[in-house]
Amino acid sequence: MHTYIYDSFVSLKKHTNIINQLETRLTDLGVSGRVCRLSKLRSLHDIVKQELRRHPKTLVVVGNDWIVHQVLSLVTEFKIPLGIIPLGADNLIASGLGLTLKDAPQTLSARRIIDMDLGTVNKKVFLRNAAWFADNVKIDIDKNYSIRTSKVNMELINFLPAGMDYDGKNPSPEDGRLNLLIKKPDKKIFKNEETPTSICFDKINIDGAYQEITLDGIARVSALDEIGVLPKVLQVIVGKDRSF
Amino acid sequence: MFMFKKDKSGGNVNTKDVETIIGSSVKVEGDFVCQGNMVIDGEVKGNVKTRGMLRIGEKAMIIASIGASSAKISGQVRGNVTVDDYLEITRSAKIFGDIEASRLSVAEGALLNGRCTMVIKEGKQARAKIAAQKEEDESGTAEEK
Repeated sequence: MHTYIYDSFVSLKKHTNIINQLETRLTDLGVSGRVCRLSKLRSLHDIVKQELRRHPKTLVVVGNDWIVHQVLSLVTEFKIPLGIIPLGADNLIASGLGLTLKDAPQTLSARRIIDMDLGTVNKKVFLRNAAWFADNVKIDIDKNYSIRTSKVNMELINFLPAGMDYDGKNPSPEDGRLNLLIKKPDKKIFKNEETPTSICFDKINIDGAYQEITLDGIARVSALDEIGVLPKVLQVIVGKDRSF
Repeated sequence: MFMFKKDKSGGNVNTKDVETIIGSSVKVEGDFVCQGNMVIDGEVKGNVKTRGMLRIGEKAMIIASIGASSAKISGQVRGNVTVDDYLEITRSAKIFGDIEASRLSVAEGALLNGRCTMVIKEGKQARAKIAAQKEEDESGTAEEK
């Protein structure tokens, strides 16, 4: 039995038709299940914990990057495969995993599950990336060499969203490593033509001045004391057009 | 026949096969070791070593000894360069140090101040074999004693 968790904005009138069609298709393919809707009175944490006690076959979230990011730690704790049906704006995680609203029922039915790594910053997990602006930083990599740079955008990447232009080898969320991308910010009018720095690493330590770190474009953390990888802890249903 | 694919637009390097890229805005210090292909456009002090291919861009400044399977140098290098296979030195390159390669191409206008040693690939392998054999023999006699 699958459990579907709908984000609160899914109940908006403009999504009614799409949801009706989606539910019909899911029933046709034999992958329908219990539906839980987020609201102001029911928090995601409570719903997920309650539903996981029923031991569903798959936990499917319907919404955007926000709901996916919120369920990460819970799903990994209970070791239940995660399905995603992207709806609304900001679906960079789903796009990187090759998931679209149109093909979501078939993808769930096909059930191509992979074990993915999760990145961590100060014990908070992220699936796609962690990004921040840094100035005058020293980065020690794998205890072999160090990098110095200033006034740059930095990003730890687990995998890329679909269609992102990236210099270097595509990061893979199945190799137990993260990629570090260092890029000078674009100037006001012109795009920066400088080659960005791209490094794959096992261990990293960052010293210097930096602003708040954004995880998956959603959550924020204020310090970069501990950066790591949890290898192959998340089971996710992916589409064939994924970015890695 | 260089190792990096050229795209159709104008001879720029296709970096999709490159594992590590050091951009011009960063400075690297230490033992910079990598298994795959590498592109350096910034500043590096220490050692650079890769089992893959290495490209050093025009703006790059390397104060280090370099080891790679093949390399294309367009920037400034202060240190010895050891390449197993093919070394390409372009017209903008400035090398202050000894170079060693099996195959070499030096463009007109390139600056090369150092000793150049050409090693035949089979010869290099044979040399390595002899050295390994020698080491084995030495350790064997030491054990006998």
